[in-house]
Amino acid sequence: MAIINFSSITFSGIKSEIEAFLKEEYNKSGILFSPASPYGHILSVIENLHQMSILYLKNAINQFDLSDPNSNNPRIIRNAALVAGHNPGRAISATGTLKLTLKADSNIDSDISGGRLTISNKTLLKNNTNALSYSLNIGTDTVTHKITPNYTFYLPIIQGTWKQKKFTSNGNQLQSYSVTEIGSKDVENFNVEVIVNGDIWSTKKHIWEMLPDEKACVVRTGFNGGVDIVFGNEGYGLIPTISSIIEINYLITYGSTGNIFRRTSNDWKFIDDVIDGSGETINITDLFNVDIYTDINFGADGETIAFTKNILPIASNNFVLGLPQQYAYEIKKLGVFSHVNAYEKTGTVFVVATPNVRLFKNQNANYFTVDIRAFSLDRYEKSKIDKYLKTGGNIQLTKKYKIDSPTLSYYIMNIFVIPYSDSTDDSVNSQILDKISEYFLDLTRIDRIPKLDLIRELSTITDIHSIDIQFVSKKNEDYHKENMTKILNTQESYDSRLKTDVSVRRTSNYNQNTVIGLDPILGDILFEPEELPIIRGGWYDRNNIYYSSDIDGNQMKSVNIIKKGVVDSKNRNNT
Amino acid sequence: MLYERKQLPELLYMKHRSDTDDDFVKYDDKILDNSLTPYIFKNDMMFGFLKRLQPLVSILFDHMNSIKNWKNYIVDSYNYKHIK
Repeated sequence: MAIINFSSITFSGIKSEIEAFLKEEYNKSGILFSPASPYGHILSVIENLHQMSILYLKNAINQFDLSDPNSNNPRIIRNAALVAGHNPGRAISATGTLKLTLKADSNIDSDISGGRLTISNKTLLKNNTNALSYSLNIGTDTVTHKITPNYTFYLPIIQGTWKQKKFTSNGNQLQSYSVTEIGSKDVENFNVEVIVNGDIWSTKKHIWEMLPDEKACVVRTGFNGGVDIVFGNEGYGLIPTISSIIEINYLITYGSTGNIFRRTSNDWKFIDDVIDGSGETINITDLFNVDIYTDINFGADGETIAFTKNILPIASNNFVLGLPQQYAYEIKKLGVFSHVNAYEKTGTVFVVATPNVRLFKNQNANYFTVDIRAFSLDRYEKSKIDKYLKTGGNIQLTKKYKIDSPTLSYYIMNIFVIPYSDSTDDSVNSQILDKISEYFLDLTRIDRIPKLDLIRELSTITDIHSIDIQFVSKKNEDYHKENMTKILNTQESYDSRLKTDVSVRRTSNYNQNTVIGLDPILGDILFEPEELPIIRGGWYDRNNIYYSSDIDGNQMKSVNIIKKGVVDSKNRNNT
Repeated sequence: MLYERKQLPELLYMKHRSDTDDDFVKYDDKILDNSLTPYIFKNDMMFGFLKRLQPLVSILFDHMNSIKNWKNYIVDSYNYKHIK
C-alpha cells in the first residue's frame, strides 16, 4: 500500500515540479503554462487519468475482504461470487400474452391477400406507453394464420430486443467468450442461444452436465455483467473446430420496467414485418385490435450487490433441489419475491413466497395503500414458479413441494414521538410513514422483526428528538377477545339467586398473560415460516376499538403517531 | 494495446476474423481523443504530439485491465474488449 501512495503522490509531485521549473525559466509561464493553456489542459487530463487508475487499484485491493461492510464494489463482489460458485441472477424479462381480434370493419378479401398472415418468431413490437421493445416468443420460426371473420389469435411476448454477436473459434479446449452490454441494459437471464456453424448448441449450467462430444456449452453470468460462454474439452462437450463461427443470440432486457399492469387496448406498434398470403407486408394494427390477454409481468431487475453478498452463504452449487434452503435459494434468485421462506413438514417442502410488492404497486402507492392481494400469489404466478423450479434445478426424486402464499398476520403500530418545535406535524408524520413503508417493502426478516430495526430507521429523521414504537397483534387481540367473551357469557349464564358462587370455573386454558405474535418482553413481532406480518388495520382489538385500514384521517388506523410533547429546536445540536 | 502486442498480427486477425463484437473502447485510439477538447487537435504540432502520447497513456489502462480481469478466467488477462 505504501508503494501505491508513493507512486500517486509522485505523479502529482512531478507535475508540480514541471510547473515550478517552467515558472522559473520563463517569465510568461503563468500565462503560457496555466491550467487553461493547452499544455496545462493536457497535463491535467493525464494526471486525472493516472489518478483514476491508481484509485481503482486502491479500491480493488481494499475491497477483497467481503466481510467489510464498506466493501461494495460491484465488480469485486460479483467476481468473488462467481469464483465461489454462485451464478448471480441477471434481469428477467416480463412475459405475457397479447390477444389479436380482427376488427369488424376489416375486409379480409381486400386487406389480407390470400386470407393468411405469417408472423415470425422474435418479431419486434413496441409498447406506446412505456416505449419499450417487446419480442414475439411463439416457440416456432413462423406461424401462419388463416383469417376468417372475427378471427382471434394469441401471441406470447417477452420484453426485450434480440441481439447477436459473433466470435471466431480458436479450436482450443475449454474456449470461453464474454458478451457484455454497455449501460443499464442487461442480458436476459434465460434467453441466450448459442449457434456454432449454423447448429444450435444446447446450454448447460456446468461443464460436468455435458456429455462426451455433446453439442453443448455452459452459459453463466459474466464477470463484467452480460454472459460468459464456455465450451467443452471433448470429455465434457464438443470443442468447436478452429475458425468456426460462434453466434450468440441474446435478449437485451430492461427488467422490471417492462412489467405492464394496465390493459390498454391498441397500445402496440409492430416494428418488424408481418406478411400476408402474397408476401406483402401488412400493418397488423390497422386490421386487428390488440389487447393484453394475460398480464405482462414477472419482469425483474438483476441481482443487487447487497443481495449477492447476503445470498452467498446459502449458495448451492449442485443444482439439486433437496433441502428447503435450496428451494428458497432458487426462488430468491428470481428477484421477484421480497420474502421467501421454505420449510419441510412430513416430507414435503412448503415454499412460501410473497411477490415483491414494489414491482406491483403503482408509483404513487405506498406500503399502506397497496392492494392487499399484492401480498399473495395467484394461480398464474404459482404456475410460473413451478415451471421455474422444474427448469432451474434438479428436483430430488421422491421429494414433493408445495408453493403457497403466506398467511397474512395483521399488526398495527403505535408510534410515540417527541419532535423538535420547529418541525411541522405533517412533515414528521409523512417522514415516519415513508420510513416504515420502505422498511416493510424491503422486509428481509424471516422469523422476527426487531423493534430496533424500525427505531434505527426512524432515528435518521432529523426532526425527531425521541421515539418509541409498539406493535399490536390482531392474533393476540382475537385470542383475548374471544376468551374474554367466553368468560363473560359463562358469567351471565349463572343466576346469582340460585347459585351464590359466580366465580368462573377454570375449565378453559385461557391465560391472560399469553402473548401471541409478539415477544412478551421486547415487543418485537414474531412470526412462523408460513406467515407474513403486515401493518394493516381493518379489525377490532379486545376493547372493541376499531383500527381502520385507511392510513389517512384522525381515527385509529394502521400506524398511529402519538405526539408526546415537543423539544425546543435550540436543542437540536445538543446530541 | 498490450493484448494486440502479445501476439502476431496475422494470428490475431485469424483468431478474430469473424468477430462482430464492437462494443468496446480501444484505448490507444480513443483515450485522449475523448478526454481532451477537440480544439487542441487543430494545431498540427499538437496533433502529432498527442497522437504519439496516446498509446503511452493507454498502457496505463491496459495494465489496470489485468487487475480488473484478476479473477476472470474466461478471457485473456489483457483482453479489454468486454470491460465496461
